[in-house]
Amino acid sequence: MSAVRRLDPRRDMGLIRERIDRLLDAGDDPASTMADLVGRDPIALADLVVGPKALRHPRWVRAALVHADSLERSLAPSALYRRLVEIAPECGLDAMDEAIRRHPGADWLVPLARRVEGHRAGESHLVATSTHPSFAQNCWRHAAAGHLPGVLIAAHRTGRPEPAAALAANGHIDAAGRAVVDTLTAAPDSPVVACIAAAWGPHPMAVLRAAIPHLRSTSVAWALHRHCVGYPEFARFLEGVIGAMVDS
Amino acid sequence: MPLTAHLHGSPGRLPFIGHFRAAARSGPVAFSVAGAVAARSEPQIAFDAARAVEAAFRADLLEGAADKVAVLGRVWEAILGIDERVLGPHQGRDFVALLAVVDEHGVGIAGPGLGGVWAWEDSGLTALVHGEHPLLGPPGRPERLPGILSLDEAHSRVVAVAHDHPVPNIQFSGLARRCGVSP
Repeated sequence: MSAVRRLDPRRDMGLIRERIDRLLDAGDDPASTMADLVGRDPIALADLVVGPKALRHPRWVRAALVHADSLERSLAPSALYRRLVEIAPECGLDAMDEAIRRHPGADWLVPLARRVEGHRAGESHLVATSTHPSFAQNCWRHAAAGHLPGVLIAAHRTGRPEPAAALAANGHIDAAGRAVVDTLTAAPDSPVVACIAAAWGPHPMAVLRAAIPHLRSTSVAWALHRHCVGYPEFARFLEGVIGAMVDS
Repeated sequence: MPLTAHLHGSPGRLPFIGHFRAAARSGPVAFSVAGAVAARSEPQIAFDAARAVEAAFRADLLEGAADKVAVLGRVWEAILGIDERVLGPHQGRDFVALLAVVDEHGVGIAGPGLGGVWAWEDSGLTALVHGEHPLLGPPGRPERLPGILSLDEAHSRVVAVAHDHPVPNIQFSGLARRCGVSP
């Protein structure tokens, strides 16, 4: 039951804030109180969630994410999620997940990811959108922002060719080489070499050479070889490398 | 004289789908080719087609070729000899290439599917053809090329855009990268 059902949001904001504060301190669920406020005065709810005197409690922020639709009508999505992360950093991943679910192709997710995920920036966004039409665009944006570990994780977890191609196109050659290996480890038939050639240029030898130090298994090395038969010189070189490899 | 042909990439994240490049020299004669095939197909299909084109330029292609006209003939024969089934869903009807050939008398250029051709010098670009020039035409692999344009001046680099390139002019700055050439 709502803890503020008899209070008027236009008149009793101080009291409402106090009651919700008490409710949260007592460990009670704020969901019904929040639902009550959404129904009666969504502006007042937005004030309590993201306003200057927002309630800085993780359970309050998590409950607010259920009403993201309503909150986005009061505040631009980019500002809303940034503010939620600022108010309750421990809810950062939850806020990020909701933002990704609602706006999978938004450019402001890139700086938000850096803030929430730190050195793994891009992981949540790219893994969550790997089957969405915005995936390639998202890979390019994170690669351009220098979110190399996040893009590499996406290559490894999805087996899609776009992360490696995005790294190459943005000049991160060593990371692109590593991504080629990670991609083929996850999906040996992934058209990763073809996509790198399409993004970088028809003879992406710098990227292919950068993949070699990251090869750890002959099966992945042979997968790379299969993709490189159109580059006979590199394929021959790779055969020499494979001959000298010891599977770890 | 070194000679390199370049084909400008198309707009978008994957500008070099189906791009290929090849070059060879034998004594005073040489050729350089840059082009694209199956450029509107899936990257893997276009990649396989492009590599098949490159494979057609055998090492002995230039043996005994006396001049640039003979070189051009050999290069075009090699291209015509590629099985259409390996050239993607349009079977080579979307074939675009800038062919540059050289002998001791100078440079010649030819190719199907071009929308503009420039000489590329360190100081900038100079248009080599204007308006309704026969060098600019539809893509594909006709039995005979429309002809060879002999250049009065010796140029070491030439660059072209495909017939369907959305912008008629190209920017000099960053051109190498936009032709898929990286340091």
